[in-house]
Amino acid sequence: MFALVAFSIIFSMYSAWAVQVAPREGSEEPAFILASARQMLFEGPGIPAEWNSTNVKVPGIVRQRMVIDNAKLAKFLALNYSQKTSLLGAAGYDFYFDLEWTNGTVITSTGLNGTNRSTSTQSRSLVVYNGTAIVSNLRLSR
Amino acid sequence: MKGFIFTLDAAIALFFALALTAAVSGFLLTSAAGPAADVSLQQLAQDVLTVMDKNGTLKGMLPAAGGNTTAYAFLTSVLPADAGARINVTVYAYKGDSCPSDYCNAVCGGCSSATGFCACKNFTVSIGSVPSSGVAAAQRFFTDSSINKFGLATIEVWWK
Repeated sequence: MFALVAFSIIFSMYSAWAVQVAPREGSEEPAFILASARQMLFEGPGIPAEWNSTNVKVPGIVRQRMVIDNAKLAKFLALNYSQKTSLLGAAGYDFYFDLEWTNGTVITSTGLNGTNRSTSTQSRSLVVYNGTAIVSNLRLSR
Repeated sequence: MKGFIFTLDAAIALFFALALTAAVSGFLLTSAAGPAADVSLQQLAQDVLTVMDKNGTLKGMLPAAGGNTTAYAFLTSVLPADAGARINVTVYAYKGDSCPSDYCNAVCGGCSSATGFCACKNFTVSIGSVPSSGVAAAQRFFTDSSINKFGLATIEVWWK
C-alpha cells in the first residue's frame, strides 16, 4: 500500500514536471535566439559600425533603429549561410530571414525556410524600408 | 480482510486524485502564455510606434486636423491578423515665438490668447475591443520644431 501511494505521488510529480517544465525549456530557446538576432539586425549599425564580411562581429543592417540601410542589407544578404547563423547565434537551426511588404509579398529573403522540419519558431518585426513600413520575418526550424 | 480492502480502495482513490491534480495543473500552467509571448507583444507595441515615427506617419499628424483615418489605415496594414490595437494621439501646440495660423491656432483661441502649450487635437482609434488582460502598451513622443508642435502617442496591443 505504501509502495502504491509513493508511486502515485512520484508519478504525479513527474507528470507535472513533464508537462510544465520540459517542453517550455525546449520551446523558449529559439525564441530567445530570435530576440537576440532581431536586436543585432535592427537595433544598431553593427560591430564594427562599418562592418564587412571579414571583420563583422555583429551584422546590423540599420543606421538608425528599425530603419533598414540598403547597403548594409546587401552586405548581410551576401554573407554565406554559416556565417549568418554563427553571427546570429543560430547555428544548429535552419535559419530564415525575409523582408516583405505588409500584403505578404516577399521583397528579399535568405536562408533555409525549414518547411521539412518538425518545429519552427518565428519572430515578426516591423521595420522601415525606403520610407515604407514593412515586415521582417526571422525563423528558426529544427 | 475488510480493513485491507478499505485501505486498497482509499489508496486507489488517492492515486486517481493525484493523477487528476497533476493533469489539471499541467494544463492550466501550459495554457498560459510564456515569457516569449509577452515579449513579442511588448515588442509589437514598440515596433508599431517606432515605425510610425521613423516613416513620418506620426509627424504627418501634427500640422493638420484629423489623423484618425491615417492611423487606422496604418494599423490595419501592419498588424498581424490575430492582433488588436488601440492608439491614442494627442497633439500640442506651443504658441511662443511663432503662432502659425492653422487649425491649432483656431482650437487654442488664436495667437492673441495666452502663450504656452495647448492640446489642440486628441483622437483614439481602435481595431477590436480592448480585453481586460494580456495588453501590452508603449508610448512615443514626437515633434516638429519648425511648426512648434509635438505629440504623444500611446498604443495598446493584444492578441485576439
